[in-house]
Amino acid sequence: MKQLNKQSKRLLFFAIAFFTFGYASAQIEVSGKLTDAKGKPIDFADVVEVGTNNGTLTDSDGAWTLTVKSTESVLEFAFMGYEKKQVKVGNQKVLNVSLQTEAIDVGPVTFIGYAAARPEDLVGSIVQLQNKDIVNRPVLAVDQALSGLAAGVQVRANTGTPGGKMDIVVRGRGTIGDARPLYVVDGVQIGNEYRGDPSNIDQISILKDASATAIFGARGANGVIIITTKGGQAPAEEAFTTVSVDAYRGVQSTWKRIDVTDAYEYAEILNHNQVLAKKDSAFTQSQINNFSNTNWQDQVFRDAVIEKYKLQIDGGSTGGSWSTSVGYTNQEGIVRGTDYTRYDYGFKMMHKLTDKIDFGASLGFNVSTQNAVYEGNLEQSALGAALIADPTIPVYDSTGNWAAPTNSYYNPVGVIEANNANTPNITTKGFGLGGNAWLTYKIFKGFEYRTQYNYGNWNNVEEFFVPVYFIKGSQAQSNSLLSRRNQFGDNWGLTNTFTYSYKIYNADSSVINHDFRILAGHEVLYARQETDRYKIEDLLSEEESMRYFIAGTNNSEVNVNTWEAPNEHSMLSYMGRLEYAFQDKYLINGTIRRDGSSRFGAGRKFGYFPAVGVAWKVNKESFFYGNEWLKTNVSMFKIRGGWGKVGNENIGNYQFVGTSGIDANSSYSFGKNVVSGAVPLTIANEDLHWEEATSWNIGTDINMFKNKVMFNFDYFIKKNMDNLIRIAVPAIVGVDGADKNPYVNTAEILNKGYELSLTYRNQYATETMKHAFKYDVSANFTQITNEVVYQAESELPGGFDQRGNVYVANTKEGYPIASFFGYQVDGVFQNWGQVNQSAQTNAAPGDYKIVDVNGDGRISTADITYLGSPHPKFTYGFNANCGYAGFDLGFSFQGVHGNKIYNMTKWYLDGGDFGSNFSTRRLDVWSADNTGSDQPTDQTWFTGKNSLYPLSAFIEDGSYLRLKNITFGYTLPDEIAAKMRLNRCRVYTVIQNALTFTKYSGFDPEIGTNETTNWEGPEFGIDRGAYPQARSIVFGVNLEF
Amino acid sequence: MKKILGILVTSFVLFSCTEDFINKQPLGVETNVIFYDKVENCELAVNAIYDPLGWESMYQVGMMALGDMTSDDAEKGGGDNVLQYKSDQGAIFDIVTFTVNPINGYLANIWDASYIGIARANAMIDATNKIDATNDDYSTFKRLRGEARFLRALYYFDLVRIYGPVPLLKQAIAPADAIDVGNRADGDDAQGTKQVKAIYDFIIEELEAIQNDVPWTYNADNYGRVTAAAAKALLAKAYLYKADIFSNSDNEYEKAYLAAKEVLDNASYGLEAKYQDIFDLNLENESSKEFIFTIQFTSGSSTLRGGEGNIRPIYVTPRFFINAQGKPEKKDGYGYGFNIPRQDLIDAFDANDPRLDMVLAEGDSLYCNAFGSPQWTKIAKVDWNTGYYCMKGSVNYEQFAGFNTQVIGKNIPVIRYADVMLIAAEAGFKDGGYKAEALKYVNDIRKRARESKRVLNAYNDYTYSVGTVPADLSAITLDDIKKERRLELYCEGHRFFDLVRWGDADAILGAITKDVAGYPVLWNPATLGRMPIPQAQINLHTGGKLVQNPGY
Repeated sequence: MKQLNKQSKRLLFFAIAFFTFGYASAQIEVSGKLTDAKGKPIDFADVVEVGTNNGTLTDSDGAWTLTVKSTESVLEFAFMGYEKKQVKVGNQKVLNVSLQTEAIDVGPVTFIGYAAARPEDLVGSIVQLQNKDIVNRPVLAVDQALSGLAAGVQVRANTGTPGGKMDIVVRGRGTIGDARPLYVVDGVQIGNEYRGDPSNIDQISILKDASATAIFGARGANGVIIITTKGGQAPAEEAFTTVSVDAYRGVQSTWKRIDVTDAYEYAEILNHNQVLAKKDSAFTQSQINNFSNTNWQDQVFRDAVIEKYKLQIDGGSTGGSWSTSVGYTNQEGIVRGTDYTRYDYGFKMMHKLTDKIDFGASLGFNVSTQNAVYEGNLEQSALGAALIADPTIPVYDSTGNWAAPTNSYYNPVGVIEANNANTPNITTKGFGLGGNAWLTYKIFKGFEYRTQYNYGNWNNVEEFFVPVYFIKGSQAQSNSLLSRRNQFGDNWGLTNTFTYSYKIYNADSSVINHDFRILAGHEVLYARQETDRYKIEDLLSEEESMRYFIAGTNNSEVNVNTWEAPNEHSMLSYMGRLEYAFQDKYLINGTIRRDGSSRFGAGRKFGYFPAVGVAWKVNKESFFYGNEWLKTNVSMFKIRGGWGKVGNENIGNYQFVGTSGIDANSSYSFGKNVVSGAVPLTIANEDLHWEEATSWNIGTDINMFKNKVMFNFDYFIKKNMDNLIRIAVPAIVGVDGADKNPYVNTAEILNKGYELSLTYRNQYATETMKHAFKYDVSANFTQITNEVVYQAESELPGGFDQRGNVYVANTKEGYPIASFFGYQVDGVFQNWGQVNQSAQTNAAPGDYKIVDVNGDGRISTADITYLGSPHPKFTYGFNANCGYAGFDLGFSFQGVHGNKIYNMTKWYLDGGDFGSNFSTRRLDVWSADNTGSDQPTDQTWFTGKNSLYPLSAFIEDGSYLRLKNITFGYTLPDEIAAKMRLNRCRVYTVIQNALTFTKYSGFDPEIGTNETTNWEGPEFGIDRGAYPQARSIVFGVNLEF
Repeated sequence: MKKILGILVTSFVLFSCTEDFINKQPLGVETNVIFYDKVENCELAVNAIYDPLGWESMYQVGMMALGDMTSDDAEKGGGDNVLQYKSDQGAIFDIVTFTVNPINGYLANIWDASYIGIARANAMIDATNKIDATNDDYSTFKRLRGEARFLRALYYFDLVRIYGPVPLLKQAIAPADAIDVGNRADGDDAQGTKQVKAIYDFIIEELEAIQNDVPWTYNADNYGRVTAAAAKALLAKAYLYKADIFSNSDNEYEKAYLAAKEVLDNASYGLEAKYQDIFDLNLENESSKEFIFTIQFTSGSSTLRGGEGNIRPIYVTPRFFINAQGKPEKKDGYGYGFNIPRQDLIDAFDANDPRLDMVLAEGDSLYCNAFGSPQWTKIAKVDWNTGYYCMKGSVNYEQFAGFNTQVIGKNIPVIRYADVMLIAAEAGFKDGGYKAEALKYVNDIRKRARESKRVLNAYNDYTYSVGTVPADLSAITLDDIKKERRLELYCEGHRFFDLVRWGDADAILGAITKDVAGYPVLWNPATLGRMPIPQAQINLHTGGKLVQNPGY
């Protein structure tokens, strides 16, 4: 943007110069030849007399002639891709000038927390991204835009529902508990989630290692994402006002369907089963003739609109700058009944009060509405039901009611349209407001005071309504029901910092011998939250206009069914940082932060988080500088190392206190009168304390060939100790439900691995080309191993399989967090010989063959074994962009390799035994006539002889490579744009999730963690019919006036 | 410089909060330290101790599976078709065919729910130990503590009957200590005999202690709370069980008889005039004088923890009816047809015993709306079911109003008057000193049954007459008492536990080799009739002291 502005100004300038040329009053005529470093002439280059409108262009031989005012005149020579050069005319009549190719900009300053630094001075491991890296991605939130862009940052969607959340992990999952990074936006710590408009983001810094994150101490253990929003950051060079309009609109659709049997195939399988059981057919021919043959996936999926419109006005002068924007985003979901809309408003300004005092403020708010369908338990979810529902019935019966499936499952359309009280489709209406004011005071040279106060206020209303209806069994509602959960809260923070920088030069002032920067600060944070819940049954009418709590009838039962205690969280922190550089060669960076949190009890509140980082700029050494090749071609060669300790306090409030109180799940009744009950709510743990992550990092940054090639490598070891997790305790303690399990400090998690990133940027131009062909390619690669090295509990089961009544994941020592465990299947018994040789009693040909892992000659729980990890062995990204004239084209790939997915949908589709619909794989089951098949004959997995569960048969390779984005854009030439009174006009199209290469059989291999299922231990990569990512095609325009 | 100092000082004074800023105490809930000081809070706490008894896996379904379907009275039932039969409540299938393993979900839930009840009781009892007679609300505190102690005893009674030796906690325990708790007493044998005895001793000690703390009756609003009658009846039952298991080592038979007799002699309680009215399907007799202790339900929004409804009615209501084409048809959203009586039970009755009115058989008609509009509808038998349904836990079709079938407010009796009479009869007979009383009690029960002969006039309209069956016994044997217990209390959650304590399980249950659907029933004497300790709990007791029962 900045560059383009300059270009357009230059062109404008040139145009003016061209027309006024003839009238310039000339005193000295100068001529010359412009060449590149190798002596090749440069044509069409600008030659301008600085401070005037006087100028010319070089011809095809690089020759030029210009009449200038005086010998004091300075000429500037400029051509795209070369460093500008200014030459004073003096007494010369002939000026032969050569231009050096331009070093590519390595980016603006990087935010490191409470301050900024030059990229070359970074000591910690920090990734920096610019607006341009994410702006082409039509996404609702910044986390969605980050996938595949940064080494060490893994992003997977928890759900594809519009407005859904992402599972984002920096440098491996270090904690069994909440592992989301901290977001810091414009200096405000906003917690573990940021829902702001991604197009408003100017810059993102991702702080990965402890030497970088320790300045955020207690909240730095999972990495820190620092976001700077656009505008209002610094005074402008000259007064300006720009108006920009961004708009896009497109369509999203599914990129994959799962092959399930149609009604006739379904009937064929069921009838065949009946033949085996020597029973009457499940369906008679006349029934079959009347089948509706509904494709339920067609009924729940749809093509959906995605659109965004944004107006932004920026202004500024030498005294300050401001920016205001308003945006509207609307995304329909590819599953019917889901959508998300958001209005964003923002205002941001800064003003220079005096030479010493700057102040600024921002205010923003957003209003959003999300409609989601239930996604927890497979059988009750729209997508799960769409896979397993009976295909023989119509969507609606002859009376217009939702047709009742003949199998045990739900009518998927009924799930969406009618809703279900226990597994509701929830509408969430959100409102969030954030304001921020700051002031900096340069007290004396190098010494600056900054104070910042922020305030936020938010409110989140989750509502659902269920009409009276009956489909079958529990897919029914006898009284209309209205439920509302209103969460609201506010928060504020105050930060005061002093920074002092001091430089000591050598004798002739040519070298900075000692460069100090000191930061000292103090910060307090406070947040409060309350929740109200209401429920009413039997409304006067089901009309939309009557869906309010006042519309109760005499029979209505008003029920505050669950109380949620209000809670407060406060933190009190002190921090300090010393940055020191010796002769710009040796850099050391020390940080300490002391945090106190209300989440811990007396004597346990405070934690100290120290870190130290060192860097050596090898390229600044004389032996390096002395070598001509190295000097010319290596602009940076830095070796970095760091150690630090950071904290994590991502747990609920008051977990150290034992409390008792009324609990909705403990009511009883006497004589038909319901009475409340009170129970011990939390179990006291006075000893609860900070989780600490210690990490070591060693890395190198190498920039070569005028920054055309940039290479980064990091090796890290991160050990999280005293993980704060809820653990299951023996039932005799009396904990009622996993959500009431006590928090304890247990478990150590070790993540180690390496990150590589490589970027190559260049341009290609020949004499005959009017424009340079610019391109860049970059790749990143991250390998991480995750291991629970210590855990007090032998097991921490998670990933509940409702049907199997078992946990399929387990967190235990020696394995990655939430690894899959179960029986290993080794194909299907093909004959009695194999059965008789096996350890399986009761088996028959056509049954799964289970591996007798311990070789004791029988299959028992002792044969349950490790079946894989949900965490990728490595992740990678590949991005390529190119541009010629006004055209730009970009590709962005994201890859994940070596993780496993537990595919719960496959259990149902490959069998189940409740008559669920089948995968087409079941058309090829093993039988005496169809040997060789790997589909077992018997479909019952749990009871009797097949009570061996979970099975590896449902665990699949989750690797994928996804072409996340293709962008193709065209920017109108400036002269045409100028005629339209535009500074800039770009039209573009983006294809999101264009291609996915995977062997995974479910809807989508991108599966994070499940937020809605009641779990005890953690779970990742369990597919309960996960809402898939959409493929979208979007057309958009960026206009700037 | 002054200005600078000024800013420095001001900012740090203004913004340096003290540590108080990070001292936040919970809002809206009280810390344990003070909560139980208020009698109102204690009442809420005690209400919550009752609560787990009403959870789905406990009396609604669990005790039906463990007491009846495991026995020779009934089997599982259910199943849309023969293929699906086994996995329709597969966890129950495993329990009742004795193919259960330690990861059974029902057994895990029952363990959890029972100990949640016990922990709630312990928290209340521990915290109110300090309250003495000087407290203004002492009598209420005492009553509430009495209720809590009864309930804790009841949870232990069920735990020890189901699992045998289980951890015995007489007060609350911290997580760090809990992992080292086991289920064997010092010097115990492999079967945990001493632990079992310690549990019975604790139950008896507690119930003896509260005899005068709780009243004989309550007002209507508090109907269902623990009464002196309940305390004495459960005490009598605990004595009887202990005497059977430990060979009457402490003269428990007589103690059981005497405790039961106190209940039987109290004017507030007695036999309901007509047998069928105990189980009134219109829910109009929910506080019969027959009931000594019932789990209370109120028609609600859920059968689970948050709700007060009872799912048992739909579980036991018939599932298969003869449709218009004359074929068996299952009705979704009506009955699930579980806990189905076995032919053996039917055969045990004299023909025309009115107590069999509570069993519907193939071809009998039920007035219901299974096929849409209310009508007389014939019961069907399918291959994988016995064709019998026990209506004791069921309700009339109007109660299934609005298809909200899973949340019926029908109470479940734990102990009723006839049970106490039979306890008195059995204990008195076994003691030897009260054989005449035993004969009288049994005959009283048979008389009531005889007088319950019912003639149907129209739906919901009956007249009663006095029949001749069952006739009075002229003399009595222990087998008569055992048989009467079966006939009177079938499908009410007693039979399996009775067979085990009588030592009759090997002979009677061992003789059953298949269920009606043809699946093997594998009674294993080595288990001593105990269910497996949940594997998840064995894993969580990392001290290794929670050991699995023999035979698993």
